[in-house]
Amino acid sequence: MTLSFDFPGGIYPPERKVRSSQAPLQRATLPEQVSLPLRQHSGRPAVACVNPGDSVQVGSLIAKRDGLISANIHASISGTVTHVSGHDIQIESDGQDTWDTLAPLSWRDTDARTLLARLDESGVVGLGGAGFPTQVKTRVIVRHAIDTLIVNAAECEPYITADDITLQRYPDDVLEGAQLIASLCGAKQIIIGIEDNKPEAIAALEQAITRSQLASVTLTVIPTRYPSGSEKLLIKTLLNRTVPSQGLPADIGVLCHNPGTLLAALNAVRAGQPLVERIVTLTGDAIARPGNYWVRLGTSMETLLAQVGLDTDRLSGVVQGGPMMGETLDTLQRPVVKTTNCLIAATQAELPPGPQESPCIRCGACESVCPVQLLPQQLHWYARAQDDDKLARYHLFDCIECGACSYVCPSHIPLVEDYREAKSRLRHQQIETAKAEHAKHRFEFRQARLAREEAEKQARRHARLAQTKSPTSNNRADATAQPASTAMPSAAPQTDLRSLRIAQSAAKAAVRKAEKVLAREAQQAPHESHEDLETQLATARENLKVADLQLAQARENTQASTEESP
Amino acid sequence: MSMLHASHANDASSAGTTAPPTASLMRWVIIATLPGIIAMTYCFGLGVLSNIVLAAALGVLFESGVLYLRKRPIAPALNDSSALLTGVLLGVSLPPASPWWLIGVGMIAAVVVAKQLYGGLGHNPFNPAMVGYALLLVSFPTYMTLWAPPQPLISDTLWAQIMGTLPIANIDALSGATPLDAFKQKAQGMPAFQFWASDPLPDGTLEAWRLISLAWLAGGVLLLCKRIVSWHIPTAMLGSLLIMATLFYMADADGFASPVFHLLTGATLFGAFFIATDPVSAATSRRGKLLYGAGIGFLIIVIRNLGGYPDAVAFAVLLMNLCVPLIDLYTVPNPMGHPKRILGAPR
Amino acid sequence: MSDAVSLWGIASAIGILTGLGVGFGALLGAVSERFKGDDHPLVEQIDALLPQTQCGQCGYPGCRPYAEAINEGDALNKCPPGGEATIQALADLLGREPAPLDGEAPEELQVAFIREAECIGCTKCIQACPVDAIIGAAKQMHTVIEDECTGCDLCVEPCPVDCIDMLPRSTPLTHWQPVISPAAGVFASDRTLAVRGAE
Repeated sequence: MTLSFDFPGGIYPPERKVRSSQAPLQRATLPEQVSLPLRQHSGRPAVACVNPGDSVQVGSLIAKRDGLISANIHASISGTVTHVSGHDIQIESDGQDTWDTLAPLSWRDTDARTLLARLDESGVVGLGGAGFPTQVKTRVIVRHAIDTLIVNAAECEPYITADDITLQRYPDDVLEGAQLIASLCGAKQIIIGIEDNKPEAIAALEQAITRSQLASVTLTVIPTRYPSGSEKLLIKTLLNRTVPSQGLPADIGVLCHNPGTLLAALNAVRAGQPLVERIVTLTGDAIARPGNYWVRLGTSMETLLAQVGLDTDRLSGVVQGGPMMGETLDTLQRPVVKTTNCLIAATQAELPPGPQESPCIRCGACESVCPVQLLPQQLHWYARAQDDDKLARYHLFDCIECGACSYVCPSHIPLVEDYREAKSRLRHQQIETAKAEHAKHRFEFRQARLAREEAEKQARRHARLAQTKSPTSNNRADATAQPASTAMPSAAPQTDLRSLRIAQSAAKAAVRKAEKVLAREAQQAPHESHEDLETQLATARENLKVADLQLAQARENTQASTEESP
Repeated sequence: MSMLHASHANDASSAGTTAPPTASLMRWVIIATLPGIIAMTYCFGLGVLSNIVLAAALGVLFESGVLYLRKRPIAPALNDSSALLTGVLLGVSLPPASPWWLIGVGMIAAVVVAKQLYGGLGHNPFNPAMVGYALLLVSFPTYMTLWAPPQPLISDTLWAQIMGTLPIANIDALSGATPLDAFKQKAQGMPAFQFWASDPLPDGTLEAWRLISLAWLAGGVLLLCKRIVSWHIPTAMLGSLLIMATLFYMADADGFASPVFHLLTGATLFGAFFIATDPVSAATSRRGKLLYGAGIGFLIIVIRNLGGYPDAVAFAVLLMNLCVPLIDLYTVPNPMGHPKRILGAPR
Repeated sequence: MSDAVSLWGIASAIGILTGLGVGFGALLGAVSERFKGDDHPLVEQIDALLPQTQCGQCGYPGCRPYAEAINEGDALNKCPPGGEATIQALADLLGREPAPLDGEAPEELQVAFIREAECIGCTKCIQACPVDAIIGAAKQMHTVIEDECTGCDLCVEPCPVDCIDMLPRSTPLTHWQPVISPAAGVFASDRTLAVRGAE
């Protein structure tokens, strides 16, 4: 055990974990049919690669990842594909449950590239809730040096015991999975962070660590306090390192995975089994047989809850995820997906609807529990007033939406809802602003291009005129050909020339500046597209060409007029 | 999201860790004023109680009236007891058995102007009770400085309150003065010990004010124990008040009163726990609260020692209310993951 | 003697006042130099508030020219794509009275769509597009790059075969916004309610 550090704030909500953690881990019965959404992970939805009527086996690839941040999806039962749409794929079971697994690999003897490809193929994503593709997370070593892998077993949300049960049942496998990921990302040490309310899991892990005799693994038991399992806070607690604002744990050399993900990763490698099932906590007072169940992805929540004895009369609402950060479902006709870690079928008495909201009196209760030290009461004020400058100034985007402020608010204000709404509005605004800015730059470029074409046309005409004029070399011809220059008083071309020269040097400076900005950005973020800056540079170049052409022309005119004047 | 709430998370593991809901929060503050009210009634007679009852009733009346005119739901706003609390706070600040119209004007300024015209509970930049008090103090100084010496309530007093006249017809100025008032009016150049030796106040006045102050302290401790107010504002305010008073006292022990005198007379302790801690008009962050409290303590001593008024809690609080936006701007806490910054506006 | 004293008094007063004037003037100048903000010129600020659709519905060829015209005193209410929000923002910036919108604000964001089978490849729409969002060549089929299109509908008019439609812009699921209505009867949030009611 190592020293653990502290984070500010936090709350002690009722745990209510006993009901589901007492029951042994069981298997849910095989569903008759499954509905697998194409977007069960963060990033872009997968693209279906089967057609209705195709027969599939458990583990057959049915949708491929699209783009870098996306994940494969596999059939979770054997049978026939009945429906393929832009959102989901439905499969009817044949009752056989035949498997189509990949070749087992021994991860210690396999090179990293093959292992990463395997994780990619198996569609393993973070099972804690965010659903970030594991292989992408592991690939961060391309840009960041990772020294520590943290196994996030804190599981601080009330009700949820999926990780607890995973660790009790499969401590050795989780440990091996951690070593697999650690070896892939080059982490020297593995730290398991677990809250002290899970004694069985801690004991199981201690035994597993003793068995494996690994020096690089540390088990750190931290005090139970919500939200200690939030990635950034857990890193602070275990390592006393602070993830920079808007940054990633990888920025400070840390990767975080939850036990379920490590188990799935190990299964994908060692058994060649793609991610087709997960452990889900089914709990709540409206359920007769609460506990943790291995559930095939795509199983309908309604049939799943019916299996464990859902009492629909007492049911007041079903929550997906924990009661602090999860969402209330308006329908049970939804499938279990890769990120479904818990379903709470709550009674009215258990999770009563919030009382009527009263005005904020700025009592500061929220501030004292905020684990990232924001000022929730000010954010609430500005979010309601849609004061976007102030929201940015009070760091709205640092909010981890843990819900501690809503929990303690004596006025029962749904603070986190306000923040989520404000965040999505601001994100939307950012997109719109970027789009408008982009359109502006393209418009400017077009204007510059048209001006350049016009100037070139002028120059060509001028050249043509000069050619026709030169054989005669007559002052009178010049005068008739260019009435403008001769009609002007002799001072005018001078000032004209000067302003053109100024314009030309300004255009040159603009090009240099645009080049510098582009070069700097390209250096800082080499992998991102800088299309907008490139457009700006091109615009500046076009403007320079126009200035050059105009200057050259004006010079010729002046020369011509000075020649004729003596 | 956050389907759980502290108010109904009544499991054993989580009981007693958080403050009660807003409405009962206000009620707890009212309960905490009881020791002070009892002590004041003991010392100044039932005129204190009639003040409070009248002020609270008018507060509720005005609040419902304005809400009706503003076409806002009346019941939830009354249910939070905030108008009641404002009435209690203003009631105890006024001299016992003040004329009814005085209380009425004060409550209009407090509830209608300072609170509802700014948008109701949670939106008022100034402490409502203190706005009412300051307005009365500036407009009707004669009525506001006459603290009738401890005496039982006689029907005459109540009659005077209803008739809207001074409670005692031919009261001489000094016999109704508070200790702070008396000290303010001591002759220029008279050393303090000589002043006290001259027995400037009726018997028991000083002791009465000390008793009342300690009673407010008891109420304040209750608020701290119930986690209804945080320790930051009272501590900072009393700390800076004592420091400033000590500095003045060290500079001129004859001219200025002692720190203990400042602490235990006037509205110091009442203000520290019941006025300055009003969360709506106080600074927001913890550092901000410390600054805010310290500013109040500083201003109280400066005004008491150098200004024209004997007591200064209301003015100090209102002046610091004015500074709250500035304090808030410069004390935004540093969220996790941002570079360290001691004080300064966030970027 | 007294004359001399009063003269001296006058001189010293003038001297002190002049000194103060010069001193404070220098201080102000120094401060304004030292803390010079990188404020954009007014035209830039106006341009930043315009929606950059470059649609020309204001009567100017693009947003920038309209920004210049506003700066020279033109009305604020000529930008239908910006709607009331833009008028309000411009009024706030320039300290002028907001006027009701001249024209109708579009109900939803649109993009141009060319029915490619009917396109004859005349390039007229390409020339009309202010942001070069249409690709194609003479006698070749044209198409609109949806991401670049600002929905200005300037290409609809010149098309000789009327094969350009304005369709609602598709929004990816990731841009989805939750619709959350505040609890009813909360009088502290009436401002927000009023704002939402107006929308």
